[in-house]
Amino acid sequence: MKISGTRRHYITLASVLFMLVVWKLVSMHFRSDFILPPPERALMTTLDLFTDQNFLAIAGSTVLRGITGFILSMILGIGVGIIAGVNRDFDAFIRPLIVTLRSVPVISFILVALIWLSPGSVPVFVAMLTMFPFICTNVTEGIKSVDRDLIEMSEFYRVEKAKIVREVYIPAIMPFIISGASSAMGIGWRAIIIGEVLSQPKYGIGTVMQNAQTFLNVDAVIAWTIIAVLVSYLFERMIRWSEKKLVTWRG
Amino acid sequence: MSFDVKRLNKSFGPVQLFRDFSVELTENTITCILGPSGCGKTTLLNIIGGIIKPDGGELTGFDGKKISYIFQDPRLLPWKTAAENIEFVLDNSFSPEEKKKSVSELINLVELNGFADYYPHTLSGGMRQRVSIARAFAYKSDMILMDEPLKGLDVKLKTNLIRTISSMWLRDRRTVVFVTHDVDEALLLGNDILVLGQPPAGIVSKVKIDTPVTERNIPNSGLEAFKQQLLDSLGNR
Repeated sequence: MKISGTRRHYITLASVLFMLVVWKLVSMHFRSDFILPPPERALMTTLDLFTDQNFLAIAGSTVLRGITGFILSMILGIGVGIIAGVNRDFDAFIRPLIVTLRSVPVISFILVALIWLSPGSVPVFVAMLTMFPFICTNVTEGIKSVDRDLIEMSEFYRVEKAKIVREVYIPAIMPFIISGASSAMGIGWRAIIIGEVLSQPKYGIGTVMQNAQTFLNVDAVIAWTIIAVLVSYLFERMIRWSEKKLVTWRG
Repeated sequence: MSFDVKRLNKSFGPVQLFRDFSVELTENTITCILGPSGCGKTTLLNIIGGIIKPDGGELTGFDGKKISYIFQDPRLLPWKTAAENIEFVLDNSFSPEEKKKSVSELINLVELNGFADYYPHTLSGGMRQRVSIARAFAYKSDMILMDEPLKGLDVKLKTNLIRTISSMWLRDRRTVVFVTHDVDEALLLGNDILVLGQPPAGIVSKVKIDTPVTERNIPNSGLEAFKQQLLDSLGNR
């Protein structure tokens, strides 16, 4: 197990190196920073970003929008998901809406939101709409998968309703909420940044990427992309970490 | 005082399980209901427990009574430890200290000392059933219903658990209804043993054993005779 673990690490490392080499070769072929700067240049630009005086405002605004959208979609998703899980009629009623939300292209949300909302809230709104169906569906599935025998046992021992929700339903759907949150986050960050590109709030990773693109600063586009990937990765780690904390009983 | 089931009727589709079935469950005794599979033992237990509504008949003595249940499978919450699973059914008439005390006492009684903080998936099947037994006794009930709680366990575990159940029962002699298809289990645990026939079920045989539960052994002359009687009544139907 240990040996195959380290072996897999080497393969991962080899894969990253391979990508960098291909990148380097392509950039050497074009020999133009406007088309594709070499990787070392892009990495230097990324490091430079951290010293940019506006870095915190830019990255912070995007992260804040992400968190806001995430929290809103969690509240809405868990609420609607629980009701749909408990009530089959409501589930049948809400399902078409969820399926529609899932299949609408992100860009459609953005284009409509641009008309309705202020630049800063467009990405939040869009992120919320893209994340909501994932969380909602997972919560509904979670509720449906709760072991009926455990509910029957609790009712038999006349455990109060509120306690059954708190100590049976919630722990049972926790793994589902977390996996929903994880897939929602993955999609959510991308939606936020596309939203920012098009709505151009004052600060935001999408805003600076769009500006960089206008001036053909491909290395800046790549550098901010790397930042966006890092943010997304950090949040994924946080979700995994909270999973470990919240679902200890699985061992 | 006793718990009475009078002229019970219950059908599932075309199968009539009970027709004018009556039984008296004496208080502070262990009543074993013995019968072939499919005779409606579990249904009877569920009717007594109020999970299933009978088609007709009368239940007296059950009003406002609290009931504990030991199921075939332990039905433990996987995200709670052994101790927490027992505590889960204790309501707020217990203070937190009382809950703690009661839980650790019962953990000891079911011989799970040292396993209080183990999650169910780390316990063996027999240990999980012990937790479920402790939970049933911890709950301040007037009656404990047991639905083949020893099914699927090997003989040694069965004997151990029967000993555990009987020693716990001796503490407060709660009314117990124990459903099984295993004659030995009934002989080792029951005060009143009722044998049900094929549906629509009636009581085809009745045995009363006065030997204290702690002094029973199967290769024991007194029990052997009862065993033959029970086996005969099971076999004849």
